[in-house]
Amino acid sequence: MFRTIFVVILTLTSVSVWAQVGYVSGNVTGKNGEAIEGVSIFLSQAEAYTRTDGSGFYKIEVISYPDTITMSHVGFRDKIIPLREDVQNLRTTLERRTEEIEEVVINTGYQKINKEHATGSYEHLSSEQLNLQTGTNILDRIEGMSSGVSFEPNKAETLNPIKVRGNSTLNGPQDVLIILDDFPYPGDINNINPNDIESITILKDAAATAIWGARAGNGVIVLTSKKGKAGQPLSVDVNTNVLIEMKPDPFFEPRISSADYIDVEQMLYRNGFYDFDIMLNPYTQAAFSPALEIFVQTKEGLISKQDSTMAINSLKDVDLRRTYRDMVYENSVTQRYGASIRGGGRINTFNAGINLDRTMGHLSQKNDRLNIKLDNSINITNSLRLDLGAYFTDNVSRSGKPDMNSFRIANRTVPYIPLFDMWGNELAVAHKYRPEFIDTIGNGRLLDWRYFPMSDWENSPETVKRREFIANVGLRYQVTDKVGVSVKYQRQSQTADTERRYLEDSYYARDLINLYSQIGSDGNIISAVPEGGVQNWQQMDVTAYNIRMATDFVHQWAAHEINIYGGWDIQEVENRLESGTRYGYRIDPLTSTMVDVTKNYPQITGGQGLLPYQNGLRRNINRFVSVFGNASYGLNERYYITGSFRRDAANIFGLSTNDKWKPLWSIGIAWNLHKEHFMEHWNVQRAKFRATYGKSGNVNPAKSAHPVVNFYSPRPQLNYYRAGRVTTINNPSLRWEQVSTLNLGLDLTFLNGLVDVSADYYHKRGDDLYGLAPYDYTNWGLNSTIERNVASIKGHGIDLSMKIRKQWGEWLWQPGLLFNIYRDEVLEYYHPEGVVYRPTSGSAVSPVVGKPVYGIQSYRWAGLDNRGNPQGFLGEEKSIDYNALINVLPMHVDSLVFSGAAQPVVFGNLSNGLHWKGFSLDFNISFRLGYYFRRGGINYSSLYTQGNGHAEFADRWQKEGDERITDVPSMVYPNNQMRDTYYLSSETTVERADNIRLQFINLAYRLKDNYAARLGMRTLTLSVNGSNLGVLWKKTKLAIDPDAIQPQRVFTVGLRAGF
Amino acid sequence: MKKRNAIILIVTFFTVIGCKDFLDQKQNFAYSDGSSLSDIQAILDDAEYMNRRTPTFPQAASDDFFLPENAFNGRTERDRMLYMWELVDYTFPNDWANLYFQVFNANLCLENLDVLRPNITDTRSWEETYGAALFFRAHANYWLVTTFAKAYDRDAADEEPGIVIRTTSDFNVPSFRSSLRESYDHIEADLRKAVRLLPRQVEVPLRPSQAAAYGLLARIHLVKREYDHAALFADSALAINREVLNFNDVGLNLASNLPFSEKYFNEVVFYSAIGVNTTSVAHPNNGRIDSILYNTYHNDDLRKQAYFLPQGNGYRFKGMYIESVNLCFTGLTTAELLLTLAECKIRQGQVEEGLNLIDEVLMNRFKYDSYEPTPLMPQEAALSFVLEERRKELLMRGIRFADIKRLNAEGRNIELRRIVNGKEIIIAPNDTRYAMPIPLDVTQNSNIEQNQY
Repeated sequence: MFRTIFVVILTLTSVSVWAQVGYVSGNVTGKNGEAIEGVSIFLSQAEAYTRTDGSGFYKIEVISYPDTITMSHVGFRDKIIPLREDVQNLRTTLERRTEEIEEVVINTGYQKINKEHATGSYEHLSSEQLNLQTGTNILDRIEGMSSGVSFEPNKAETLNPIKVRGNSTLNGPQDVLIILDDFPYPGDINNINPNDIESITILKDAAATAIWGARAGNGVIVLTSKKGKAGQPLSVDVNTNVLIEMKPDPFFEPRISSADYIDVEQMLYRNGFYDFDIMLNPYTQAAFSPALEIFVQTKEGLISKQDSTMAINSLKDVDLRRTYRDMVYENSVTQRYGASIRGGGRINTFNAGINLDRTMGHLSQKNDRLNIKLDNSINITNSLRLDLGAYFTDNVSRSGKPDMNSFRIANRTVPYIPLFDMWGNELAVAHKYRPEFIDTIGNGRLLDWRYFPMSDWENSPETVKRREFIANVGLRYQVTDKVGVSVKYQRQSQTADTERRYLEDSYYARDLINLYSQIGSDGNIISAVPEGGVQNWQQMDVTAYNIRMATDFVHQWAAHEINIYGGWDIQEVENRLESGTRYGYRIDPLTSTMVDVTKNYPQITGGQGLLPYQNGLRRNINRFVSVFGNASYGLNERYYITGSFRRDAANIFGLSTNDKWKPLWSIGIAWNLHKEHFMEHWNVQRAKFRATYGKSGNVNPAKSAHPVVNFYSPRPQLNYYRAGRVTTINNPSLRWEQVSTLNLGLDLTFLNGLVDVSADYYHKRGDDLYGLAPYDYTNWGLNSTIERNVASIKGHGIDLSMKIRKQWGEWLWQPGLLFNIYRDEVLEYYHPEGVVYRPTSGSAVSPVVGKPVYGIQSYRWAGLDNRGNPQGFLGEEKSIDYNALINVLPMHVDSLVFSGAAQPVVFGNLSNGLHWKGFSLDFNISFRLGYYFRRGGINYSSLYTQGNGHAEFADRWQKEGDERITDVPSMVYPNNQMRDTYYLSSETTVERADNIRLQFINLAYRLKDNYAARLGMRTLTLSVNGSNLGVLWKKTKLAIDPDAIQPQRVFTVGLRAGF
Repeated sequence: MKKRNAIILIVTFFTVIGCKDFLDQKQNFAYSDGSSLSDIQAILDDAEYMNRRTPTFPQAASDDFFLPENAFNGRTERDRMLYMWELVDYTFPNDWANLYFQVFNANLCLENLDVLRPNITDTRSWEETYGAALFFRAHANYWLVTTFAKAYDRDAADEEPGIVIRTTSDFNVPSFRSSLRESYDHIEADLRKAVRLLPRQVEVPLRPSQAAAYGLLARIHLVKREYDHAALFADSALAINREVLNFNDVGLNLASNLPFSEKYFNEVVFYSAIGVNTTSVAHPNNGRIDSILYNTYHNDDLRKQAYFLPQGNGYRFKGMYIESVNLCFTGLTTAELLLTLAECKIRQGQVEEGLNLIDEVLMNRFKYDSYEPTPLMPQEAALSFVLEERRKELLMRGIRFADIKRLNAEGRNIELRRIVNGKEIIIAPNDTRYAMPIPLDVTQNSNIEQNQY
């Protein structure tokens, strides 16, 4: 099969047919004379290709002289031999790659630069490194591989959980900038298939990021996709993987038990907490929780006391979490298939790939992703090159069973809803109306009003179809040997169609039809909702284009070297969204019915209402213009000085043009010490010192001359007219945010390449940072806070990466360490006099001078009193006056207790690679140290009103004396919310978060090349991988994950073959 | 060769000049700066904020309802304190913010209208919009002054602190409290100007009209106890619209859970509501009407079944002109204006005329043909009668608090009683707490002085 493709492609790409003029043959051996099998032999002019056999012998036809032979083999240095007519037999020795210092070429998205000449701080990840992890999201594969990069899966304000070198803004955009090949990628990162990515470069300091301008303040991640290479023989790669993600543990979150929950409900019922719901019930028919239903029926005399006790006891044995664990959750399985072909000749290089991923999730949700990629590069003349590329993604996902947390009755989570009876038959869940109402209303003339959650999901699927197309064209012209110009154009479009289809039989459709039914005097039923299903649809599209023009100038004379690059680019990203609802929806034949959604209709429960519908409309156009330039000067290949400059502008609403432009710059120096004479006698292969400094910034849209008015469509319930609302108030006095970064770095390779160390120290300072500050809202009123230049912060840290590479014969050992220290502190924060300080939990900025940007501060904890009330200190007196403790006392920040940072201060990874013959074993351990988290606890307000209870409820204060053994407050009714707040924000709920995790283990076997060749393959690799293998150690004694994430273990079996 | 290089460099670098138009592209199509006439109209049409954010605290502090013990216990600490009249420190969100947002919007519209004026061709629309902005500012200020300042007393009005008078949308201009007299003068001035600009009547009472402006002027003068003026303005408003909703109307299902959800009746001169409860104390689902008040409604009085639903040891109120049982209508109706006029007439000694006006309201409230016109009675009795009818008609409309204040200012000695867990709390007439506390986070961030307690 692949041979056929091979032949077809070869035929297609051969530009013309050449006559044979001779041949060349030879033997390839290692240093000790051993024959090397499977060495690629490539003739450039002839574009001919062969491989050595078991004795290291090859023979290949020559079509013209002179030509060049390129020999390459994994683990050996390439050898290039000029071929003249008189050469017919060659004996070649290949050198092993072991002690070689690899020449790393960094792609900044603008330029490819030799790492040797760079002054900035870059991190380069090769596809081998990326392949050690198996996730379907490319960014996940960076985790544990790169220093200075931390993952914060719990942050809501960013699209991706990645953070490069801590915080540089408080409320500005926090996302890293993602570049795919040459341009910012505005699409969904999940559209990119990791198989299509050749390498990743992470740009960390100002010199590295300055070229990307205003949006690069949080670091830049450059994804470089696979391309063909000139002089590369045609190769076909196929791979397949199966990923199994273990099912989640519903008991991961410590929740109140069913028995405890029902006891709480009973207590509330006795105290009349539900009286109003019960009294109003005849008008709403709203469902009660199963236990409450029994209490009410017992009171009404519908069931006996005895039956009631029995029913309650059997409910106490029901646990939704157990049901989910045993009967609902499944292991998620992803199957992946990929194939690619690439090659390159004198005129043309190309790469084509296709990848398919199919996932079946824990709740039977499905996701299919198809990627097709094509790249072609044509040398039209010696000095003119044309690059063409296209990338297509088709991603379809379909929802599955309802989430465990979606079971709510009367706005409360209920942990004991029975979904199946003892024989495994599905049960109806009365989550909206009382069962008695459903059973009797309409005398059987209404549609079945019962809800079966474990099968209804099949009648109400949500499908999301995302399609993305990226096409680009680049033209590069080498004007003289020094000057080149290039133009690039990229067009991208992504559409996402979301459709929630409530089929005719779905609960949602039946419920609406029944709810809006009226029973006529003749007993007939008429509903305002037409028969059929309901469809909610949403269409979103993102279209973007980029144009870039650049000029480069390279000049070398004597010991000098100058490199200048400059140009401009523009980008436009347009986002559009439309959504709507269709009633009477049927798929076959495809029909829908018009309804009047502006009218109030009577409901059979007694009320009235509008038919639910969505009607969204949105359109944004973001435009960016940038002018940039950078230059470097090198002397003797030892001393380098670089500088870069960029101005950015965007069409920010209401800004005057001058405010839109923003200058950024950086300078840097590098010194290759190992080239100095004084280091000649040291066993140091590389020693380089780097230093950079640069400035960047950020502008806030509120720095506008006019307020921003947002418009809303008429809502018949409220207003008949289009409404406008000032959602952002104008504040022309805002200043730019300014961030300056200093980076000092040292790269060392010594002991004949045994040890490779790279260390960076950086210091960041952010001034005039934006933040929300309280103000006199008499002057506006919509919000209690307003955007101001409120803060200055500084942060500094060390990124250290160390690799060792030790070889003993067939054994190769490669341990590595990534070690990072990061600390930051607030230098200034606007805090008005007389405003109390609030505790922080690490999810928001803590505005305390001298403390970390994200820190944990708490109320002082004085234990429980002899009634189980949490106590604080008023002066030295223990107190339960929560109003004083919360609203009066913390006028000064010292009355709060500071625990520490909420982000790891020390973090990194320990990796280990062991290779023997074809086997390799890698594992990676991550550590995150020196930080704190709030563990959560019982919140009685939330328990009573929302049904959210914490497992520690079982350990609460219950009788006098308990205060000596527990810190969990007693249950009280009526509840005082401030009492909950005090306890939950006190010292006693703070824990150390330090932990060590086993990130992954990867075991691979690469078949010996001669065996592979016998199977008709170039290479064949089998691998087994386990990732997210769990917490090895944590500081807290509690049985919870300090990072409050629940990563499931993933096991992967994979196969990779090359032809 | 050099020349060629230079040209290429120049071309690449300077093609970018001329991108000004490129950057002038509007970013978000749902945004504008609110400067066009239709944008201004849209800001004023934001009923969710402009009409449906009248204050909840005065309702919560009034004697229109009581909280049964379990409802009281189910409230938050802040709400329990509010119910017991003990609340001093509270923060955003609150009535203050909601009302000043209306003032801000009105100011922004007025400023933008001033800019538009020279270029406007459709002067009638411009005038109506200008009048509407003035009305909304006065309307918000009316609720502010009746909530956060003491009852108006002509002799003390220069010394008593009033409200913050804001006349600019520039939030950098600091706020301070004006005197009570200046506050009322400002409101009156806005309304008198608005009267000349507004259309006589409007299609949907969410938009202000001349009738609404006259009606609001009547309310203002009533709380100032300037009954002659109040009568004049009520009369002017009634000259435009005097239609009272007849509860016998076949379209109304008085027994239902929510008889008046159609809300925009002809009787409504200006529509406003507590569309968001800033405290759950005043939530009609929690509060109960006591049986004494309930029993003052005659059995033939249709309000008895339209307004009340027996529940527990009290009655739940369901007579709000709104689409939800959780919210309350607080707007101006012709019935209110008739009762205002009746009260003023009786106070002026025109008792018979006053009683006739009361009859005009009650005829529409009683069962068809069951209503007997009120017999003539002495002035003081007639005054008590009209005040009782006022209370009964305007129950749970958010204006009882202002009525108690003005009536106590003239010595009617209305005491508020709260029974909380067996303990009785009495709020004496003219208590300083009748001027509600200004939010803590406002006084902390400004020089606005807090009310003295």
